[in-house]
Amino acid sequence: MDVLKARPTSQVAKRSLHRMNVKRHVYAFVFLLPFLIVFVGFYVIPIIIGFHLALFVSVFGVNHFVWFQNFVNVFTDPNFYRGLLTVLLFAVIQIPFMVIFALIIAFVLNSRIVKGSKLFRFLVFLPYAVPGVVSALLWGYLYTPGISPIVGALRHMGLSSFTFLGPGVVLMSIMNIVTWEWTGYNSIVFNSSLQAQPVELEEAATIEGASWSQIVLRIKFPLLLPTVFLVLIFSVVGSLQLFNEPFIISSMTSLPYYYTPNMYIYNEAFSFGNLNYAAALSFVLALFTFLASFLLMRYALPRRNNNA
Amino acid sequence: MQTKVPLSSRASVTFLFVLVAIYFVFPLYWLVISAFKTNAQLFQFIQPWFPPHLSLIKNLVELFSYDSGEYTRWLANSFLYAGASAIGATFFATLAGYSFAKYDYKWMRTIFWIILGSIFVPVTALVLPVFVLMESLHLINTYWGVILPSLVSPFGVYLTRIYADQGVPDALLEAARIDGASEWTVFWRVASRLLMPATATVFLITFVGTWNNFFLPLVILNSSTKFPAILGLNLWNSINAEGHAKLMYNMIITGAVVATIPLAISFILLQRYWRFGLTSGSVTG
Repeated sequence: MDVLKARPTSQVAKRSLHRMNVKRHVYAFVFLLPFLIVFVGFYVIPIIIGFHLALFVSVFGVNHFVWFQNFVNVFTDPNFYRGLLTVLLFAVIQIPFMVIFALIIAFVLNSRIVKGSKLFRFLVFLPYAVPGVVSALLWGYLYTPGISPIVGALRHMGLSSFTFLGPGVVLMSIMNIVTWEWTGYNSIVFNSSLQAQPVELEEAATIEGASWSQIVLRIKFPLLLPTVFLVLIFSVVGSLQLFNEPFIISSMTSLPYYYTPNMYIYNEAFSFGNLNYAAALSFVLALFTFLASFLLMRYALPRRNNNA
Repeated sequence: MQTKVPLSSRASVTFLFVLVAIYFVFPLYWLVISAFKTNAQLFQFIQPWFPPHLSLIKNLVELFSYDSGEYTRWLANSFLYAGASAIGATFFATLAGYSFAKYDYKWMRTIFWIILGSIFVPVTALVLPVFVLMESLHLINTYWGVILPSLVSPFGVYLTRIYADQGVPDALLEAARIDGASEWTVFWRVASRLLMPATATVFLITFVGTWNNFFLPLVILNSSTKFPAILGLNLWNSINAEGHAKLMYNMIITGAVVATIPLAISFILLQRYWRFGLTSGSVTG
């Protein structure tokens, strides 16, 4: 339009450019506003309310301000640490297993060694389309003697005392559910990232006579590392929040009410009605989660070459 | 590009992949097969194959009519929660993501980093505080109590932003402005069309996320008439596990299959949006 064609040296044009600029700032804000309202309303404010709540103790329905006493109690609460230990153990075993499993699938899909990779991709991805609670119920039944064909087959083979739901094994059984749910999804994430990699490097390496494993290890995997770390961080966050699977499984075998931190928070709030303490637990858990992702980003993230 | 691999290792890799595929598919196969069985057959005929007499229809009738159709109601609730949340969340996230990508003023950067950081706030850590908020707003045990918190999708904002960065060329927007379009028209007529793949993806993610959400409705809702299907299945499972009521395995299993179908369908329908076909070339054409 005329405004843009005119030289901005003239006063009139300057003013109208300025007006246009202000208008753009206003539009930028208006576009943001709806999201900001729900974000502040249902993300930021709850955090403030929750923190406020955690500073009180309720005695016969009357709230008493106790400063950080609830937090101090959380840090010295053996049940909280037991739960934390469970999810840390879960994370240390399940995440590496799942990530390596997903990486292998992604690389093999990417190399097109296997025919029918489209069908395979679909089948591997399927569990992600299943609601988490359904996955937990489904596997829970597959762990339950009497209804499960797997337990039935094991019994048939003479392993009559084997159980998926015993105290020592149940964490592994929960790991299996989570692995089943998320491996396919993660391998698709890796696969998409691999497909976005520039082909020139691979072509050049092939011409130079590099083998498939060399290409994977020297070129593709290093380029994939940022994606791997993103998946890793989200997995750590998810592990610390473990709730659905153990909650459903606890209806099929007995698990302590503090089995994972989130089960502890839920039971503290809704079985024992101790909202204040549960709020403090939530904050400490969030703190640990942040700490874990921060440490991962700080120390485990692949160092970029500064000159690059 | 085809990498040369000897036939023998190709065969063994294929064999391993078949095993892996069985691992991922078998539980679902078992679930579907089990929906054809009566309660008695689930225990007497545990082989993972169709029973002698198929009872799928009988199970479905029982599922949808039990307790004057409470499952039907749960399913309708699920559609309401997931649909309303996804529409709202997608709208908000698309507008915000576009704004962050295409206006990119200094004052917006801090806000963006806060939103980005909130992706790493575990959603479950928010559930209890949200419960307290909803209690003070008298929204406990209401539809709004579940929908309102589900409208926030920081990841959706991030996704739209990175997509708009590459997929919506500045030159195209500038051209529309020169033609006299207002900022809103630029967004609605030009940018929003190019953003469609991102929008569809955000819709899919938020729909699936709300459909699958368990912790939030578990905390917010206490009367079963407001339950989504996932929560209803959990209710039946806990009644069933107590063991003194009627056995409900067949209904839980059939209900689980039914609650999964809409998700499977939306994944298949929106498959192509999972991978962004960036329209970065659209300005040169």
